Amino acid sequence: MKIKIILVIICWNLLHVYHLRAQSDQFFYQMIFETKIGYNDIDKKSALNPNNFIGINSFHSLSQFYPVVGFKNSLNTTQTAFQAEAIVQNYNFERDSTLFGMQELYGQISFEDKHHLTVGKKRLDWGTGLIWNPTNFFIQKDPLRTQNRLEGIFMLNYTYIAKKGEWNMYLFPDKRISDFKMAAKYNYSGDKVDASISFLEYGRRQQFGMDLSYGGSVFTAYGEGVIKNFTQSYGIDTKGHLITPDVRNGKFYAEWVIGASVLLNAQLTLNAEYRYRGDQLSRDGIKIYKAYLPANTVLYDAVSIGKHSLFGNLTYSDLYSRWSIQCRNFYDPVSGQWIISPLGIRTLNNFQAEVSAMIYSQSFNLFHSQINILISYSF
Amino acid sequence: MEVLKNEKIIRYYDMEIFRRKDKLRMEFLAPATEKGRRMLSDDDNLWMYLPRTSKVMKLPFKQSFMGSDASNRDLMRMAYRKDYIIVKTTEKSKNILELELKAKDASVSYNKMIVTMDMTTLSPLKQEMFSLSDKLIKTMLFENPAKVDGIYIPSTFIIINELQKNTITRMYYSNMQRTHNKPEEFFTLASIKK
Repeated sequence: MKIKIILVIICWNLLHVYHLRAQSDQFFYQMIFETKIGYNDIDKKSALNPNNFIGINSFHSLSQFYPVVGFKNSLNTTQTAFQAEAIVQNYNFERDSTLFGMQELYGQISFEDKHHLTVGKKRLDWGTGLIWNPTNFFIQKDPLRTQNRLEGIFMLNYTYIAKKGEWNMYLFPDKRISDFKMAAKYNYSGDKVDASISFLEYGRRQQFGMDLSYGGSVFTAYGEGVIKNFTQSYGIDTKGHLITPDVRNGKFYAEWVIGASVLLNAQLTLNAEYRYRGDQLSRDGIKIYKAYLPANTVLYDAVSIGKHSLFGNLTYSDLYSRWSIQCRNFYDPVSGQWIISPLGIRTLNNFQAEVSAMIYSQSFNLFHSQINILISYSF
Repeated sequence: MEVLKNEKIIRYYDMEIFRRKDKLRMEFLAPATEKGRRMLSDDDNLWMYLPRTSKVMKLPFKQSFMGSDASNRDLMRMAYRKDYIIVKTTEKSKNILELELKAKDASVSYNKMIVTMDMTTLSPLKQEMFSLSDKLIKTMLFENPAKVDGIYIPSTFIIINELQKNTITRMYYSNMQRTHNKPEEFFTLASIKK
């Protein structure tokens, strides 16, 4: 009984301290709730999933909760910071499908706003592309929702910030200490031009990357590309046999993106992006892939499975940023896959609602169409 | 900052702002959906950092500032001397001076501005912005001047969009200081990601 009373007193005091610290500038917290519910119009003639063999539900839901806490402290010219972001997610409101994880968990120490040392799990922001980032080997966005909160990666990072540029050195631990990845990146920021070069190595695998963006107040053009000797994608031979990524490694190939963003007027923005991936399927490869479905489902990509991918989007926002509508298009000219995805977003101060649809055409997809409603609340 | 439509607050933001020469860095503290968002203007460029994706994107100066009646250029670009020349000064009454400014080129948002100054405090009272066709687009009112290290600085800005009569944006400044210890590197693209 005494122990329970002591525990209650300790908890009360901790809550009191927490409350006091929450009032100061040094400590911050944020709670984000997101719920997505959707309807899938399943294609029962799909070569990937004939007669819904893998049992996809027509209705689906995903609830996510992100508690974010952190603190910052300054002492003369030295700043220390700590931030943690957890995730609790649940599929279809089923108790067994609740998952817990850490999105970010890192500490950072900075000297004179020039030297920054970061240790822990943190998101990495490599690349200038809006939808696709070939230079970012570590984290790839969901092209159908680029605003998703992404999971960070474990790293040791040193950054030196100069007046017109930034040097970065990274070490990324792997399963074994001896298997760490190493990377370096230099960013230059000029008046209208931003550019970077990067290098990544682990074992015998190397990636050389660069990106460039040129922009004024209404028009921005950008490009981003890598040459690398490893892949994470499967290949297919002429007899329809799958070739694993390990077997394909060793040969250098290119992957790059070019894009542009144009502000047509204060409310209307046009985006376009093209991606080339040297390790993906050619026209002949797609014929073979199609002939041997569903055995080679592992090659499937909802947006594009060929070497070439195109993206185009028109966004119209109201003057007060309370709502916006978008018409997004993804097209793969090699396979003929085309996704039209309209999106509407309504924003109030702490609340956001999104309604989106995906309409699939000429594709190997699992669906004819999908409709999603996402509601997000933060405090 | 409050954005009002028909006298009702439709958006609000709390921000912390640092300035060094013509560079301005802003960090959003509230509402919760925008917490951690940062903006940096550096002469001709404007960037925004989105903590949700750890991504930096370039913004056009002509776009509305976070859904308010001000444009990004109105609030984030500190280069009146570079963008305008004074073409006329008129003494409206004792200690009240009116300056007419003309844009040096067509890249700026407003072709003409009329700024009314209180010469006793050397602080602005009103700023009217005109289009190329000489139409009044916006009016900014500066109120409640606060004395900061011997200089009067308006602590309330009211932005009236003359084309949309039912909306208004109010900005309230507090804890103003004329000096800070932030180095030049704090006002760089690399720094807003840290």
